[in-house]
Amino acid sequence: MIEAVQLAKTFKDFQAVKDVTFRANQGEVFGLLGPNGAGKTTTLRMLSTVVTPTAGTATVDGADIRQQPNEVRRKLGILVESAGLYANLTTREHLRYIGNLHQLDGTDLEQQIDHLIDILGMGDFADRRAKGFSRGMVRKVVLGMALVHNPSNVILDEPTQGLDVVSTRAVREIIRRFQAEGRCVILSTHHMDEVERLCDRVAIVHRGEILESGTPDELVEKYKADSLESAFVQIVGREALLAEAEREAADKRKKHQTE
Amino acid sequence: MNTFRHNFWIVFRKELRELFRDRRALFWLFAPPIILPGIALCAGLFIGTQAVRIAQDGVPLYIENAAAAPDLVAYFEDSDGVYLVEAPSNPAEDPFGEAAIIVSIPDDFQIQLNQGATANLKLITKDNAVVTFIAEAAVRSVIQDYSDAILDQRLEAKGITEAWLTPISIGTAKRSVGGSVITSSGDEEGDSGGGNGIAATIFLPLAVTSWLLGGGMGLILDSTVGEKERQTIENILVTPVNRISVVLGKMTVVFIASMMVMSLWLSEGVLLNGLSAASPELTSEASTTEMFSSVLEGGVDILGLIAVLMVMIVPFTIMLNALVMAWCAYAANYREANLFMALVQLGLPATILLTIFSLPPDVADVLYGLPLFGTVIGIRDLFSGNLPMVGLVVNFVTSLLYSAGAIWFAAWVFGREWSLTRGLQ
Repeated sequence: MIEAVQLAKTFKDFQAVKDVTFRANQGEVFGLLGPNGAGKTTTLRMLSTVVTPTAGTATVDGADIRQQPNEVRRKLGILVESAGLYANLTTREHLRYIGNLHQLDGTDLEQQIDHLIDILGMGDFADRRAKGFSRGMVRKVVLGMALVHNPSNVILDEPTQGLDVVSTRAVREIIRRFQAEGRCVILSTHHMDEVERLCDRVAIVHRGEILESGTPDELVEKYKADSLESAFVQIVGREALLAEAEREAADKRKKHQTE
Repeated sequence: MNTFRHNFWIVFRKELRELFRDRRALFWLFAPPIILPGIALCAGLFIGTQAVRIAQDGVPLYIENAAAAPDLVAYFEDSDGVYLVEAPSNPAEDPFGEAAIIVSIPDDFQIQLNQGATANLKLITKDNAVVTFIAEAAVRSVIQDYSDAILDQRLEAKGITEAWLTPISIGTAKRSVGGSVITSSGDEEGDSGGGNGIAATIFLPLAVTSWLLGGGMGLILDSTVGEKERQTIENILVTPVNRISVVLGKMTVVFIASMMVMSLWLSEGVLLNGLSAASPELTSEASTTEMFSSVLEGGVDILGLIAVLMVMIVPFTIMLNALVMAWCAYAANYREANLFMALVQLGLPATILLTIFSLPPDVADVLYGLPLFGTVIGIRDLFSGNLPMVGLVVNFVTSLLYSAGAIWFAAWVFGREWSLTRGLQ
């Protein structure tokens, strides 16, 4: 179970996350839905102890992210949105490396690696070096790295971004499997159909705040919308979404120019 | 502690495996110290072989208008370095014939000499090839000997001695100012052996620059800021691993690679130093085995020299690696890291050269304890035979402290959220 209590994060003068509170239970897929720059990734980084909250705290199976970061890391697996791989290591070596850093070793680890290679469909490239891997292959390996220590809580940040249809279906199937296995899953995405298909409950995040939360059906009903997407637009606001899209486009242009 | 060692070992093994598989990194690491001296050695061997051949066979020389300088011709005939050949059969098409060099004598050559004036002659060469250059030097040497002999005759005729022409003669020697001195020759006092100092000034900046340009810095860059660029760092940060063990694991691989590269450079430098010291023994007729024997017997304690160098260079390299790692852990991307690297790459060799040339030979012992400069001065003084034992101890102890401090600093930066999150998307 993951529970965030009044979680906040400020970078210099910019408040990325404000007072975020939610609880994701075992056997539940909890969705964080919001436009780019809403504060989803910062929230997930706080939960995974990569960054420290400015205020508030969170617990993962009772372990506090501030007081017991190593305990949290053992109980949590996170798929980072933009995570990459080491070009000269094979898929199997990546999984073994992270497994070793989780203090796993020997036959148990090798069996877990074989199991992940099997369920994630990585058999074809299990012993190939990562140089030249497609986006889909990279995402699968990174997902495997997040799961190698068999965590009871899983955070997936945009798990299907950049994947082809087959890989997307495979990842969704894995999320359902986690749910069936009783794991707690936090799914961060801006794909409405993914949320509707997979999430038991969802929180709409915008400008670092949770504006609304509930089951997808509850949100649709509350805002009298015909779909979750319509409800989302009503909650966040059309103008705000357009402004975010323009800001994002400007950021990309700026980045492109500096490169 | 076991977990710390375990994590250190895991990171070290992974970094080492990556390094061994990265052909480009390996090339830039080891190619300069292997290829560059190899090329220089080949060039040296070629020139040496040609010089030996010319010394053994002599330079084929044709003298134009030989009748105008009978004494010089006789001098050439008596010389071992050259032998005279006949005039070319077809000068219009082949002006040199068998000759490598032509000496053109003017008609009044002997008259000018007899009158005590300066007689001019002209050396004519075929081309600018190395062989021609060596042959020309051999011919010049014979003419210079002849010129010196005539000078002696003229001075004798005037009643002037060589001592009268040289009022003051300057010799050089080294003497320790209290306490024992570590020298590369093992002598406490002897000839200065200027070549040693020159060797040190050449290869010390070279060795450090090699670390900067092709060795350690590239690896540190890849293992720290490279993790940010590839977005692999977060995969490590979400594991329960001690960050100091990550820093140490990465740095140990970089350190080993750096030491291998620097050892290669230094071994070549020591050999150069030995060759420089033993150069009088290195006659053109010596075999390779004899040459190495003469280097070893030339009073150069190579193993001792390497041991002292290692004592100074090991903590020095650790300190440099750790400081660069601290910066790279902070840098958001390769661009930021490279900006700093460029400053270091330009500044450090310049600082080393300035330190070597600007500080006096007998520095206070405390200066060996200065960060960075202390080691540079120490190595300089080791090669010039002025490094006191106290200086070596001061340098070693302080360098160990600096390197420990630099490691702690790198680990501290690596553990800070403000440095790790810079560059994360």
